Amino acid sequence: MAESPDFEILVSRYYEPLYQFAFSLTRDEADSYDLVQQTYYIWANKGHQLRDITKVKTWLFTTLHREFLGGRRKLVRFPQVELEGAEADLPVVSPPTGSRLDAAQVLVLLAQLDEVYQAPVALFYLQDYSYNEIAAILEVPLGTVKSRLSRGLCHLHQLLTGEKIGTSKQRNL
Amino acid sequence: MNRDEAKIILLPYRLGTADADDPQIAEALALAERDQELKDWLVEHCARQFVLRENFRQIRVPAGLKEQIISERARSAKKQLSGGQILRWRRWAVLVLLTVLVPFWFSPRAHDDTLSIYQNRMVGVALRGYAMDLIATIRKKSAPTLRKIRRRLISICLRNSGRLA
Repeated sequence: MAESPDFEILVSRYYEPLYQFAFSLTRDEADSYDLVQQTYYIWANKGHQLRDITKVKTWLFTTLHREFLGGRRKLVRFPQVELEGAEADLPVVSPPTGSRLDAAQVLVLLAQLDEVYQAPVALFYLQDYSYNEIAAILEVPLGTVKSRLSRGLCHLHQLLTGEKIGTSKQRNL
Repeated sequence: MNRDEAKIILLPYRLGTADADDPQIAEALALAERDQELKDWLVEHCARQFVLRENFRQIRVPAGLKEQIISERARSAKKQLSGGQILRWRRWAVLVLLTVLVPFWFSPRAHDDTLSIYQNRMVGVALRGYAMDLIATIRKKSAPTLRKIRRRLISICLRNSGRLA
């Protein structure tokens, strides 16, 4: 078993991508802030249980995602709103403006995806994670990740360009 | 593989990554080499992917987050230290208690083994009443009642005492 990495080094190395991942899920600064802090708090208390220290990064992302899902389950403050019913409230993103997009617009687009596609798509863009790594972080089978990514990216592409491709026959990578 | 299928396959393709090693993606890329329209689409798509990725990575991290995490950790470590001290004190207390109790617990009980105690116990046993045993034996053999026995015993005693005299 490798020696446990120094806490400060771990924070310096991963707090930014963790925050970006959290923000792409919550789209709220305070919630993301809390999620990252909570993740490191859990690491401080339970990190020693991790046997393979090379998987620290995956562990941190998985923990953050779990905390996010746990928080969502407990959430009663914000009622669930169907996207169809809330379309008028969403900011308008004009379609084929890929080069003119900014982070906020990208997150608005991401928010328009089905919830199950958001985390894999965010990880796909944020960290250049492989499908295996995304599957490990989200704790779902590889096939599920591939299918969710394919559908999520297809929807995102459609939102960005207006081009509809292969909706009838989704590819299972 | 037609153009639409190739587009679906190429959607998760990330330029400069190991994605191109996937056989299906490799096949779709080969098709794009031959199909100009697909090639143009792919160039645009890759540019869009790049912008999306850059935008995701430009999510601004609030200042002070790192310091906050580290200071929280330091605070919790202090708490853990005081918790550790409490634990150490508890251990000491248990150790002291054991030091006091163990010799007492394992001390030889000499007074139980003395001859006088044994003798007393034996005398007690010898002197105890046997009435219950007698009654139980009598009843078992469907013998006469205790009153009859007593009367007979008295008469026997009187007779014997007469003879002795």
